[in-house]
Amino acid sequence: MARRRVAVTGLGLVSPFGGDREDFFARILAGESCIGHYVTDDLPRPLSLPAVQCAGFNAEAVLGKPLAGSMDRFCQLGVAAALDAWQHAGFDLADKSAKPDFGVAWGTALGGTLAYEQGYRELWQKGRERISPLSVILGMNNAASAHISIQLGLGNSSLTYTVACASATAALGEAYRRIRDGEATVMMAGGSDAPLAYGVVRAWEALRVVASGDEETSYRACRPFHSDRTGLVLGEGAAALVLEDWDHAVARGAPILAELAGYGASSDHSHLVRPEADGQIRALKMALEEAGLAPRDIGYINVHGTATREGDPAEISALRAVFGDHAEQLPVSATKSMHGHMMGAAGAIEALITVMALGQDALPPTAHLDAIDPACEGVRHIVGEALRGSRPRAALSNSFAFGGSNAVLAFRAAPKR
Amino acid sequence: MNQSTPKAEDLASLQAEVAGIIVSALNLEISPSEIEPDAPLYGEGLGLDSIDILEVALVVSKRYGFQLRADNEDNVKIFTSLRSLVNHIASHRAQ
Repeated sequence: MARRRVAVTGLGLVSPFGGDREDFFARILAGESCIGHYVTDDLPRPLSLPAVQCAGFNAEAVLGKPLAGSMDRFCQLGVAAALDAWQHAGFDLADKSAKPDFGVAWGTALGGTLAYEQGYRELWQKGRERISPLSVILGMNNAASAHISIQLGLGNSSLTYTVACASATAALGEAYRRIRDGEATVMMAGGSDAPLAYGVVRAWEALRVVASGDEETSYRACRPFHSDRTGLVLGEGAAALVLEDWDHAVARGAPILAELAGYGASSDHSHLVRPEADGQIRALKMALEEAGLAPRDIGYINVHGTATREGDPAEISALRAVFGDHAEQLPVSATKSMHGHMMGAAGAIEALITVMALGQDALPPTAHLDAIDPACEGVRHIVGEALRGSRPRAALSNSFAFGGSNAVLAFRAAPKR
Repeated sequence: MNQSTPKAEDLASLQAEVAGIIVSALNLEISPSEIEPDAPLYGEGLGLDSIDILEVALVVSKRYGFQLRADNEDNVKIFTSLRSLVNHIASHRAQ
């Protein structure tokens, strides 16, 4: 059976800046950081580190009190982003009719970790004998996809992908395959995470890959490709894309924002946390091949670029291997420098940025990149401010996860309208 | 697959159809009859780039029921002009 084409017809998010998708994209283009300084009074040692929070997000206002109360924060963020994308795609939120060929694929790395931590505190810190009867449904990792499916009447598959930092990219890629192969007509795909649980933050700190900062410097703590980069910045957030069978989108007159044209997935099969260029190269080539794109067709890459010592040069070396002579002209940016690492939502927020950048006159920069590590040279880093005038027709979004899971999405601009 | 030599009038109507497909797939602001059959599609002629060619390849593949891969090495030849594309479709179409 012929492959179906997959259109992107809706974008949604919960922005840490507090505004809508246009506001988020404008601020990212301007190189603005939403990374703040995060302080708690947790014992035995309070947290004090750079982090991203969706501080303006009011779950009860968006979802209503009963629904919000039945969800962990990662789920609240995820459902809110999905509802936003649903409306953007021109679907009616009030329409709860059964849609047996519509589904959801969701990414989360940590799922309901806050709910579990709350349970542990009740048991071991406060000495309670019982914990909330909602603990299981709040904590389960597939809670977001389940709630999205219920809210929107999505009767096709409801699947959750937990692939560390590549979770949302895997969800998007697998959702794309379901539509491509004719198993679904519309897929709500994206990811959400709320990783700022005390134990989770301490665990990441113990791995020595988290950037440090104080009240004054935290906004520029995440410096991918910088010679003095110190690591990643944890953040909460959510983003969603509506993926749709191309002909279905055309038939209902939906605006086609871009085409999701290829997906590459590979495993390094070598080391749990040290990335290998070889595995990344295979995923990149697979995405290009499937999209029918040549390396020179790619006009922008939203790279994984987390600002770790090991990860950044490995990714650049993979890009140089795949793009050859074109690499030096290839505009590349690591937007995590501004929105931090949203873990299971990272691939979704970066896919959203990539789609918004396609065909536009401006590409987002890597913020704070005033001294490029020589080991990270060889591509055209977009530095300081937006790159004007390039109008990419095709772009990639990379996610390379701990565990060695690599996922790459290839997008093409919709034909000019 | 129909490999027999197509008649001239069939080719003429196919050419008009393919010109229409190119214009609608790429939302070009010209009418199909304005595409010169022998003018280059790439670059200076119609001004298409490799991404436009990919779009045309996808739509043509679907309409005529055969795989026209965007990374086919013969694409430079196939997409030389409207006429060369039409000849390729005529000899490879399944529907």
